[in-house]
Amino acid sequence: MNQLIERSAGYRAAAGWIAGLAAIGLLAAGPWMVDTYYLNLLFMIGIFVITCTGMNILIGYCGIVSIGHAGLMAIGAYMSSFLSTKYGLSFWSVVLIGMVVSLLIGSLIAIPTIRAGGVYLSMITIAFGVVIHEVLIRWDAFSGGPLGISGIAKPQIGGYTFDLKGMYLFVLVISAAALLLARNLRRSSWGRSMIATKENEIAAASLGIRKFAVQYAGFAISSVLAGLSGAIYAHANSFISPDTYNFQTSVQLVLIVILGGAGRVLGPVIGAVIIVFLPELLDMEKLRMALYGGIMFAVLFFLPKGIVGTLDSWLSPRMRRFVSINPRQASSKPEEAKALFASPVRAGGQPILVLEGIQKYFGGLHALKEVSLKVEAGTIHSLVGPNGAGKTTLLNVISGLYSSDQGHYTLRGQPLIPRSLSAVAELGIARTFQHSRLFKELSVLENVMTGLAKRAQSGLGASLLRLPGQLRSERLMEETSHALLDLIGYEGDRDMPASQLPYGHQRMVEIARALATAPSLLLLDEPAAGMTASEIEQLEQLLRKLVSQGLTVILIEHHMDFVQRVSDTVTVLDFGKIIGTGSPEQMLSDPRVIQAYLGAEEVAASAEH
Amino acid sequence: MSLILQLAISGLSVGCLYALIALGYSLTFVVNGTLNMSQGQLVMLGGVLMFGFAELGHLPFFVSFLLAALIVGLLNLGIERLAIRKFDKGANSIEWVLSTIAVGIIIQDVALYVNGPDEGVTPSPMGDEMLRIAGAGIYWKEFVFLPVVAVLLVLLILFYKKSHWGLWLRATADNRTAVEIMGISSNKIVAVAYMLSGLLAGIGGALMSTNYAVSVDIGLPLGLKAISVAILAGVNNPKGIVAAGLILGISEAFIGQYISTAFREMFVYGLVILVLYWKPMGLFNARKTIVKV
Repeated sequence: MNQLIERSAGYRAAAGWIAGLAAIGLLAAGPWMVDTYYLNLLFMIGIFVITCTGMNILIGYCGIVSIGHAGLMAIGAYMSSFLSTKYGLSFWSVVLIGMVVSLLIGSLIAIPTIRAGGVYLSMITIAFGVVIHEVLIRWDAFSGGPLGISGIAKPQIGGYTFDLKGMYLFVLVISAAALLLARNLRRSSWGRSMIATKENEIAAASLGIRKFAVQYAGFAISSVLAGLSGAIYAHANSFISPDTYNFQTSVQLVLIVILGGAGRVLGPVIGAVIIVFLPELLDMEKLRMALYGGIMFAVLFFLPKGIVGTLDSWLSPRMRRFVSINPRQASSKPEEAKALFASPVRAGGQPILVLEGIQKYFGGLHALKEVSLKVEAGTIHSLVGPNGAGKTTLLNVISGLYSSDQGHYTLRGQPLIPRSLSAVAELGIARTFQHSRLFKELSVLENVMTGLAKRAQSGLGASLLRLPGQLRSERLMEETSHALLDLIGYEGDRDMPASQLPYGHQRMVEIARALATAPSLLLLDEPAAGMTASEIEQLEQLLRKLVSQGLTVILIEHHMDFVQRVSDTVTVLDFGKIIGTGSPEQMLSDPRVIQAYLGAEEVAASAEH
Repeated sequence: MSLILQLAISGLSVGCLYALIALGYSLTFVVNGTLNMSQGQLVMLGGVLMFGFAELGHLPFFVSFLLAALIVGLLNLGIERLAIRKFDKGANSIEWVLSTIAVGIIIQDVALYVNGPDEGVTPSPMGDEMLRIAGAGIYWKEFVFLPVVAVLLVLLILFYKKSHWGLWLRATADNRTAVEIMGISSNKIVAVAYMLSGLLAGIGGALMSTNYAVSVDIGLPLGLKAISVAILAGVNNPKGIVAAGLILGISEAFIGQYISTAFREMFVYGLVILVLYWKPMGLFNARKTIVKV
């Protein structure tokens, strides 16, 4: 049975390749089937596909909306045209220079704005596009002013000069290659990290993923592709002027991406076909921009996933019914699980984490008061206390989400400075969150693989090109993730989007994802909240298994019987202060603890009886 | 010396308009973390409507002014309902950025279709008299921006501090869930913030048209300049925005005089980029938001 399924998956992959190659073959026959006018339109579609594939990575994967990419196209176009008309350099060298300069100037904009984030980035990129347009109009010596540059040489190779047919085929190849790169990226740990960061910055950081690095990578790829398509366009058209690269063009590029479906590899193709052919069909001079705006609005309102995305989400559940994908068998090899995580900790009551005098203020609120704590290696240390006692705040300062105002941390005998979530994650401290923070767009398996990103990340270039080394490490990550899902006892469909998981399973998968970072210390924030009794039991067994393999767990939990069963040590917090640390039996019967939970009157009342 | 004074005053006048427009971003951003990317186009609409009512429709000045401001305010109410509410899905959502950009494009193109590309200045009730201060000459109609904007800001502060709507706005900015629990519809509060922001845009545009030529394509650059002000100051810092707006106005006046008018905009945006390198959350932004997990 399994073999059959594997074979059918293989067939489907092959079918995909064949369909893709057939489409390219058909398009390659284009020059001999349509006249020059339509060939020109097809060429323009190719140009848009190249640029918008980059923007698709930026918008769809990274969640960054740039409305200035026409400016980057302009840089590629003008750099290459200037150098080729002025100094007679060959197309092949100026196109490279155009890409590099586009990358450099794109980086100048991206570096500060990615740090500032969101709206700032969109606004700055609009301003960037406007400025580039202005510069092109005013800087006569470089850009030829409003008249632009004309007489740009066509590319040559050997004795052959590229005419429209040749340029069209060239663009066809480049755009197919760009699409392939986008697809490869989506299937690599870079792509998963981009989507993870877009969906949940905090959860991604807690897995050691640095937002800046992945988002900058997305921006860089899109800058290079924009520069490339700009240069190709300039040399095919022989003439460029500033008006090709204004605000409207930038908007058009964004529209192509979201109309096709942001984050869908084939989205830009569909979007570009529609946006290029639409004006031909409608034949309207006025209100064209209003029409684009209207389409953009309508897409956002009625087709938020774009055309490809909507089709896909309609089709894939139906496909799934026919091809029921593997309920992978649990491998149940404990010795295999051991290798999954945890640098084995030296046995024998050594503290793994020591906190001394931690203070945290939120304005006037003194949230943590002189918290000092010793967590023994290989134990489950529970934090209990009423709501608002500061348990989660304590977890947040340990994991680097908040910075504490005072205090010392020691991890495995070394001083620890929790600078940021991602920095702490790299030191082997993993955490989960009070509310589920799975990456909903990714599948269950991919969620766990995201946790492995830091351990086994291949280079960006290797990921784009899907080099053998990267493929091997992908396969290894898949294996490890399957093993981790086996370990937590997840038996459902692993290719299902995480958004469709029942709540209890979401919590368990989150633990698997945290374990994927190979932590030696695991911080769990109310993992049992919302779980059924049998799920809690499963969690209990899992925690015991983890600890038996040398992992240390800090647990925040309100299910007192659960706490009592699993904990080695219990620390009670109240109003940001530790009111006691000891064995579970000792702590949970301590009158101070009962008072903290139930209030003074209740305790007095129960004492009278 | 008189030239410097003159530049300073006229810089302040235009700067207070920038501040007024930029406050429109801030008003809504603090309430629900969204803003209208087409604010600039709304300002343009205010200016074009003002010119249309007063010059072409021959309505009295103040009637035209009120109409322009109200129409833009109500339009922004509609924009909130259609382009914001459905798309505001938390901190990382980008849909509202796109939808309000789409709105801006539509407004601009429809305005171009209806109004044509012509530009016009609405005659100011202040006439064309000059005000002379220590040898510096400045038109009354330009100078009057300063007191008018000052009065508007005072009214805005009073609204925020004294009215129950202002209280709700501040409360929603602080904790939206808590406001909902108190039985107040936070959607309604957001709508009010948008209405206010639209009013500011409309007033800004109407004021602007009394001294500067307005046409349909001033929207985008104005919006960008205003967002530059908001970025320089930090979007959630109204006081900083007023300061940054005035500073920007003055520096523009001096750059235009002593360096180059052509590259004035580039200078502004370059400055914004530099500030972002140095302080990503804005110059005057001291508050750090606490993420709850």
